[in-house]
Amino acid sequence: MELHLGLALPTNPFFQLKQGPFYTNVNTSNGSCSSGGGGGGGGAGGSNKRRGFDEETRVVPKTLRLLLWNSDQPDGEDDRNDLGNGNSSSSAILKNDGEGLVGWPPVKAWRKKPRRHAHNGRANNNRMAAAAAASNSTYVKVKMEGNAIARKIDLSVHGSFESLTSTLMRMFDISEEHWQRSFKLAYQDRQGDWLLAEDVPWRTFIRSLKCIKLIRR
Amino acid sequence: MQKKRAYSFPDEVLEHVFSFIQSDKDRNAVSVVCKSWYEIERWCRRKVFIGNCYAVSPKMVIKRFPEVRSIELKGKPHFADFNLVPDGWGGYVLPWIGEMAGAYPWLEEIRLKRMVVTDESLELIAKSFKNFKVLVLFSCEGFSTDGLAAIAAGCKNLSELDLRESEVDDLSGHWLTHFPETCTSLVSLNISCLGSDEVSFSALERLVGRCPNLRSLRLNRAVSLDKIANILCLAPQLVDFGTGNYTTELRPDVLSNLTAAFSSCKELKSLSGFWDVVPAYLPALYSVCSRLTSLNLSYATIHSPEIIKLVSHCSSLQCLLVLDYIEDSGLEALASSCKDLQELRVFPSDPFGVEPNVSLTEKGLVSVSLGCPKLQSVLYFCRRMTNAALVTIAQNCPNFTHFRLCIIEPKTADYMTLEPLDVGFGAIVEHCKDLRRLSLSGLLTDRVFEYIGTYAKKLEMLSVAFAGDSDLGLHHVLSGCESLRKLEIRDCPFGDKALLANAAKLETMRSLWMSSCTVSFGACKLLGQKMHRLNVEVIDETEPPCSRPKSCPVDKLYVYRSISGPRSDMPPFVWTMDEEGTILH
Repeated sequence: MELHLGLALPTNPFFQLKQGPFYTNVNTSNGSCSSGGGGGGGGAGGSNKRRGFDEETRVVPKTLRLLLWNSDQPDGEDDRNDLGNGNSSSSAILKNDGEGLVGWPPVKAWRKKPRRHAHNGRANNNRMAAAAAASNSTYVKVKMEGNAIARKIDLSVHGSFESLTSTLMRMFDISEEHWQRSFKLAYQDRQGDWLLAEDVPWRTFIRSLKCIKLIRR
Repeated sequence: MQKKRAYSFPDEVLEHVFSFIQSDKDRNAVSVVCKSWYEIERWCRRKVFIGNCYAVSPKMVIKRFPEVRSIELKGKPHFADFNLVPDGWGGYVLPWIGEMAGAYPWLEEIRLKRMVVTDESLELIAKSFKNFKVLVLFSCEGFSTDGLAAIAAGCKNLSELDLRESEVDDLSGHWLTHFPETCTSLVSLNISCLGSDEVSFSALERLVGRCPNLRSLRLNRAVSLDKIANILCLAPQLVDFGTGNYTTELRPDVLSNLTAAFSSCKELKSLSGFWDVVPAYLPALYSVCSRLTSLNLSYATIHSPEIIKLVSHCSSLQCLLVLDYIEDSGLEALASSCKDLQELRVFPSDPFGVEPNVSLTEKGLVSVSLGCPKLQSVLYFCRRMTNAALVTIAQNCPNFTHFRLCIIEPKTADYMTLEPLDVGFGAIVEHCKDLRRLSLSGLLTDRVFEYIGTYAKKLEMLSVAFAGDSDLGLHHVLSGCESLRKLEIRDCPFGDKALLANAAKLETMRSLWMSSCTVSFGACKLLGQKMHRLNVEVIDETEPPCSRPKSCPVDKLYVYRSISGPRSDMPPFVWTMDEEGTILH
């Protein structure tokens, strides 16, 4: 028996569930789930369970089928193949430079962070500037003239123009001599003006830049 | 043709009747009875709650409700509290203030949660609303004490200023001096989040002294213990008090002054603060303990014996926030002393430590569930749990409305049977028929979601992390939880199938958050294309999602219903999919 799950039109929040052996063979391939014996869990397992939807068939005039859920697929194994095993989420671990999981355990930041010190004088008036000032992100957008897709680069790992340009060359696949011949590094500062990076020292560049563009000579 | 209106009332009468209807749900119901009721109701609605500031535009709200006096707005998703939402994501209040400044000159109350508020916004509030009374900034950021000074100086009738848990650029304590000498209207002042070491204490004392209606005062850490007695003597009518740091050199007169000051507060029902507690000063509180209904010791680094001593005096306690220093023994004492307890929150003292530093286990929660029959709301951080304990807790407390369990190590199994905790959480949802909020943790398979979809019919908010095996888990929740409004998921193997199969469900909810799951960019695009009343936002700080294959999973996904379309203030790392399938930025 097939189970069709359609993407119902927004006007009707319920959609029709055809009967199906929805609960059979769930998770038997996952060795870690033995169903806890006679614990007072209230017998929600097993294929005898019926849900409220089954009793009243809510008819949807049309279903827009974005997806067919075929319960003949064994245990959704292809899901598991696509996802890797349950440990695929381990890639999320050590995201913040080996310091452990981001945001876990879920304690509010102010419980563990020491007090932030007031840095610059007046908090900015302009909303976008305030967002930029509040932003801790060290990623900036980089565009190459003539190329529609923007990339992003993490500025915090660079300490000089040499280091930045060699990363950019790698990112956009430009050879050293092609770069010397054809490209210049330009940037837009917080005031919105476009400037050439070669005209300013690194520290000025880093502090005032909003985004970078590789322009052709 | 004349319609017979034999049974209809003049508009003014209906308006008067509607003025007794305060709840939003009831007001909404009234407004759909018929066209004339819709019209009358919209002109007399005074209070608006907007759970997601991007679900509707300020202009739309103003157009429908022209006479609003009180507005509440929420911005960032809940997981922003745990640094999962990058800075600059959004939630700016300025556009709202800008529109309301013109449209609602009589606005009295603004309550904001997780929004970015700037000094400019605060100055605009102070300038634009002549009768402004209440400002609550819950977990907000982006402003400094300069903005607060503008509020203090400009709002002549200010009764409530509550900055709970906000991040304030604390330039100086002198903003307090901006409250004019003529300001006597304060009822509630919460500055507990301010860091500044120099709080203008004399300004504070004068302010407290001239506000006879002050009921709630929460000081910040910078205010030292020896100053508390003075403050309390100036405001013995306080109902809710938050101390500053509860430490000072041990001197006998401080203790006796403090004791006297506390005992003169006959109305005091709620206490908080207690940074840097010196246990020797805790006895000063004993005279008020029996009247206390709420006690927040979650900053107090005192250990179980002192906590037990304090808590055993608090026979009327209804709400306790405490660190896990309370341990199982303290929770047992709590269970025998505080029979009226309704809410308990136990926070971890060492959340990132690998080994337990305290003896707080599932046993503590079981004792409380046994001893406190009125227990309704629990937030509990611990390091181990069993299905048996959860089943017992569920059977003891069928009245739970909020149950949030955080077992600190992800995917921790039942430590006795080594099984997943599916059955335990299943018991919670089965027995607690009024459960509105649930947070899961520990080792969990798709089975727990089956239980949740089957039983948790009143569940409105679900938080999931490191759980489940496949899309089936997500499908159970989306298809079974009829009352679901907010779903937040991180690090679970949930992907396209369940999301697309239940797309229509998302329009019945406020929002869905999924991060570090396996939803592909292609699925996000499809969802955005097909569902015109959803905003599908993909958040990726490293590179644009379209620079990778469509089948690649997105880093973070935030989907919410909206009648105002994609927002126009997205930062570079947020992409949204619109109807034509183009990616807006």
